Amino acid sequence: MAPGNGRPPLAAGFGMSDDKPVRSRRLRWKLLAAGLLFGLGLDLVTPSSRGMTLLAVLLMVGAAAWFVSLAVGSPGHGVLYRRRREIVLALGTASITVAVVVVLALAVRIAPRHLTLENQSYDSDLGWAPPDVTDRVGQRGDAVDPDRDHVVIVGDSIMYGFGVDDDQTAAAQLDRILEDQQVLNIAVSGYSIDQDYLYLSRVLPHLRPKLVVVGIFTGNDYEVTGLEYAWGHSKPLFRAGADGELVRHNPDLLADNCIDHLAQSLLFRVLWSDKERALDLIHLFCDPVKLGPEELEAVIAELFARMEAEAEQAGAKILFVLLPIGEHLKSVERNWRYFRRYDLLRQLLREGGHEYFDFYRDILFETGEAETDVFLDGAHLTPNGNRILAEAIAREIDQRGLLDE
Amino acid sequence: MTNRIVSALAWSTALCLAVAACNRSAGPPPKPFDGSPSDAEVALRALGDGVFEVTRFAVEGGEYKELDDHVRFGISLYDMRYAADLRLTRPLALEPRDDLVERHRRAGSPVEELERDLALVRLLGPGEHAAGMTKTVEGSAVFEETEAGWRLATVDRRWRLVSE
Repeated sequence: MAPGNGRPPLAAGFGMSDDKPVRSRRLRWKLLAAGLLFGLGLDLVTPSSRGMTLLAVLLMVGAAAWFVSLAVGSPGHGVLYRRRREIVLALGTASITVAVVVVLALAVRIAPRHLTLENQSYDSDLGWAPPDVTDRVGQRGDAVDPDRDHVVIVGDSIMYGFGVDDDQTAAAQLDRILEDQQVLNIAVSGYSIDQDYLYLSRVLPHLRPKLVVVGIFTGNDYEVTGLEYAWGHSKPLFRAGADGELVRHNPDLLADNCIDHLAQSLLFRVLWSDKERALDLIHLFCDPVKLGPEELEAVIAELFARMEAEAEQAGAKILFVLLPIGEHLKSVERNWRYFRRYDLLRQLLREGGHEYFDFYRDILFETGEAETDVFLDGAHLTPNGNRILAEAIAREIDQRGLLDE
Repeated sequence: MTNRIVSALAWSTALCLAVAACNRSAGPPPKPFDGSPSDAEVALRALGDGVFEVTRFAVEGGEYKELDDHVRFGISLYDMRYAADLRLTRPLALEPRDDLVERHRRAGSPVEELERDLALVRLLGPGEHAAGMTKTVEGSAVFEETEAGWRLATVDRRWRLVSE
C-alpha cells in the first residue's frame, strides 16, 4: 500500500517519527494514570471485607503491570527500555523474595506475646491457663494451704491485680482482713466469664472452699464471652443449645485453627504491635464466630448458674462483684453501650437470683470522681482501688453472713 | 475522542458499582427497624413513676448506626429521637450531682435509689421543681438488633431539657 493512504507510517509506532513529543506526553499521562490506579487500589484495601480487598489487590496488580509495561515496554523510554530485562528480573526477584518471606513468616509459629507472661501456658480447654492446680493456683501462683478453709477469688486481670504487687491485690488485702480463711487469688489475665467458669471447675476439687467471689468486669466480659477469640488467641466459646444447655463450640483449642495459626506466626508477632491491624487480619482471614445478643445472654446466665452450682457442690457460697470502668463514675454524657452491658450483666445476676453487689457505688462513695486514686488506666485498680475492693467484699461477706456456718 | 470519553465513563461506572457491591459485603445490612416506639415511652413513664407523668411523647426520627469496640464485638443499633412533655406530679428538690452523691453516701443508700436520683438530675437538672410544672425534653431511645428483631436498650441517651 502506498504512503498517503490515510494510515500513519509504520515507523511511527516505533518512535521513529517526528511526533515523539506527543507520544512522550501521552506516555507520561498513562504512567500517571497507572500510578493513580495503584493508589486507588491501596486506598480500597478494607480488611473487614474480603471482596473489597480482593478487588483492591486485583486493581493494584493490574495497575502495577500496566505501569511496568509502559515503563519498560516503550522504545521511546530510553534507559528503561534498554534495561527492561534487568528491570523485569529485579522486580520478579523482589516479588518472589517478598512472597517467600511472608509465607515463611506465616509458617513459623512462636508463642504469642500474651503467653510469655509468667505462670501461663497453652491449654486445650481454656486457651491459656496457669500450669498447676494442685498446690498452686491462679496466675499469681498462690500456694494452697491444705489445712485451712478457702475464699476463692475468680476473675480476669482486674481481680488478678494487674499493675500492682502481690501484697497489694484485693485478694491479698482481703486475706489480711479475714482471719480464719485463706484467700486464694485464682484470677487470670484476659479471662472472660466462660474461662472463669472452666478454671473454677478445674481448681475447686483441690480446695476447701467456703466462699467463691467472682469479679465480673463490665468493661468487656460481656463482649469477650461472645467471641471465640480474645487478645489475639482462640478461647473457649459456649453456645446455647435448644434446651438452654451450654454447647461447647470449640472443644479442643490446641487443634489447628485459623486464629491461633495466624496469631502464633512470626508475621503476626510483628503485626501485633498494631492491634487494630492484627484484629483486622483475624477477621479477614478467619471470620471468627460471634454470638448474637440473645444467645449470648442465655449463655452468660447459664454460666452464672453453673458457677453457683459448682460452688454449692463444693460446699461453698458464691458472691458476684460487678467491676466498673473508670468512666462509670463520670457525670457527663454516659457511654450508653458500656452502661447497657453493665445493666444487662446486673439484670442476668438479678434474674438468676445470685448474690451480687455493685462495686462502683463503693468507689463513688469513697472518692467521688477522683478516679486517678482508684484506677491505673481506667480499668485496672491501683493499690488504693484494690483496698476499697477488699473492704467492700469483706463488708458484703459480713452483712450477708456468707462465711457463717 | 467521544468514544474514549464514553468508554472511560463506562469503566468508571463499572468500577464504582464493583466497589459499592464489595462494600455491601462488609457486613449484612441491618434488619428494617421493627421495634416498638411505645416501648421507649413505657420506659420513660417507668422512670418517672411517682415523680412525673409523660403527657406527650413524639417520635422525631431515627437512624441506623454500626458501632465497633476494642474487642471487635460490633453491634447494630437504631437511634430513635423523641420529644416528650413531662408533668411533675410532686415537688422535687434535686441537689447538684456531687451533693446528691454525698447525701446518698451519708445515708448509705442502695444503688437503685442512687441511680434513680442521678438519672433525674441528668434529665431535669438540679434545683427546685414545683408540682404541676411541665418540662419539655428531647432524647434518644436506642434499640439494638438481636436475633429476634429490635429491642429497646436505653431511653436516656442525649437527654436535653428544651423548655420549662
